[in-house]
Amino acid sequence: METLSYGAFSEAFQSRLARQRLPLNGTIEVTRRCPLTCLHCYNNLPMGDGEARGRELDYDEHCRLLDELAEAGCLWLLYTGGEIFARRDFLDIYTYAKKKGFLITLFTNGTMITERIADHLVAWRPFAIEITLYGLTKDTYERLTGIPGSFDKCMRGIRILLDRGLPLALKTVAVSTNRHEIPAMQRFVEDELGVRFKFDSMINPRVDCSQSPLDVRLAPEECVALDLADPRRSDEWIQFADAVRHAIETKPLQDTVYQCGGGVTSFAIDPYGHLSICVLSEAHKYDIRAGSFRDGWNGFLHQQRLRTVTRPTKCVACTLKAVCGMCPANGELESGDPEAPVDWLCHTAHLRAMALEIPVVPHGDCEYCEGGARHADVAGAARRLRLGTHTIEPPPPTIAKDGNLFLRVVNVPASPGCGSCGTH
Amino acid sequence: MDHASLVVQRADERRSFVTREIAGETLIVPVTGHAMDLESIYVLNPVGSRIWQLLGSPTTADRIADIVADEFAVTPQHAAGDVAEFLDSLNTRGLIQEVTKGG
Repeated sequence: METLSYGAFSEAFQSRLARQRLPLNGTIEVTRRCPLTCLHCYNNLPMGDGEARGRELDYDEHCRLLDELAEAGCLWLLYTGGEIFARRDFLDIYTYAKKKGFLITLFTNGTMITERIADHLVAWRPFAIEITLYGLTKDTYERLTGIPGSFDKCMRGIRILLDRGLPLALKTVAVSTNRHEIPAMQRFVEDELGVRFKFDSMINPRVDCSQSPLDVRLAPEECVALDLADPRRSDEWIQFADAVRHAIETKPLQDTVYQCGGGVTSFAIDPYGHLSICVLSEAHKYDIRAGSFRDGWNGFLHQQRLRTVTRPTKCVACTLKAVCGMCPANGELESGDPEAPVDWLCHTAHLRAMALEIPVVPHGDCEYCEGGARHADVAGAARRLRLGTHTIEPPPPTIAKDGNLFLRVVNVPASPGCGSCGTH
Repeated sequence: MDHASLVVQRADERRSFVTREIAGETLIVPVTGHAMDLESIYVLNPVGSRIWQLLGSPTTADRIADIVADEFAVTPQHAAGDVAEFLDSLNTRGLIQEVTKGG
């Protein structure tokens, strides 16, 4: 019996099945309710949101869905939220999924992990667990989550899982509140806890159209400064960019709106039983309660995936896709138009490319490329970043006049919504 | 496990693993920590998949080798050697068990 590493197995298995359209990778949001009120979050709802709770798929519906997914060939399953453990029956759903033979990853904030939950996970071991650590210090963590005491709960959850040898990795989202702690966070996680760490600077508007998360989104210069502060991360960007540029330059241009694995090998299901291309794709959904997963996958989602572009934007021929987070879902969330370039993404991608000396191939009417109106500004910023003159400063104190550091109002648009969900 | 006439079958699937058939591929996925290495996934080739299928009910290495030789056009000696090696590897991982009388 030959022994392969997991990575080799996954690559070979997916490659063997590449010519077939199979729903191998699924993401299921079990709830959007969460005990934290993070400003950057794209979908969180209050724990006590009875209306949301009442609409969520119940245990029996989850079991029927899992039966269908196993039958359809799904192997990798990601459970996410909101906070997955906000549902009292989550372990029951999870255990049913384990018994069906899925390789399950759990995304959690860790604050609701108890010894009972961890012991159950030891008996029914997940493929992976990822906890988002919002800050290295209590002050930073709780400024972002808005909940006093949440830092200690998260650290306790991490310890409980590590004590049991569960397959834990930590990650964070880099925003203005915690950017100054990212390098130290990485050292703490990798050197002291001995687990993998990654971070992402990508922040989206909320799926309910609110643009409020953008208040804490980093400036492009701040994103790229974090990339450059980590040589390993810089190398990964360069290698990935090379591979993707080569693929783009050697294959015919695709005319489909979606160019990811969504609808080809992956899918997402929201807490209310709606099937979509991914968790960010709110505009087009299929109600599996009114049909079946198979019908949704074979019919609705296939048609979504085949949608073609309506116009030649500067994104179509851009070879910087690897260093840019642009996708139709982002376009929909930012402006209601899946094909409209997102300026923040375009700015960040060009700056990242110039700072890392990744070739920028002309790709149409782009203000950040040579000859474009903003090229000189970005090139200058890239030079400063390469010289290391950009420093990562902690954010200024934000204690409100009433002294209440934790007063947060979530789910209220800070600016007019994009209109893509049709309710704002 | 080198006794060709020993009666064997899959270990108790309810407790430890699940067999997944995806697009003609057979995977054995560990579920709980009772019998198997939880960090491993077992991927079977067509011959392995057929043997695994035969192990769904009590059988012997001799019977399996006869069927493999017949269906995959290999000599009985070749089949017997491959089957013995494969069963040994399944046994080492706790994926099969000896069937005792009445069991």
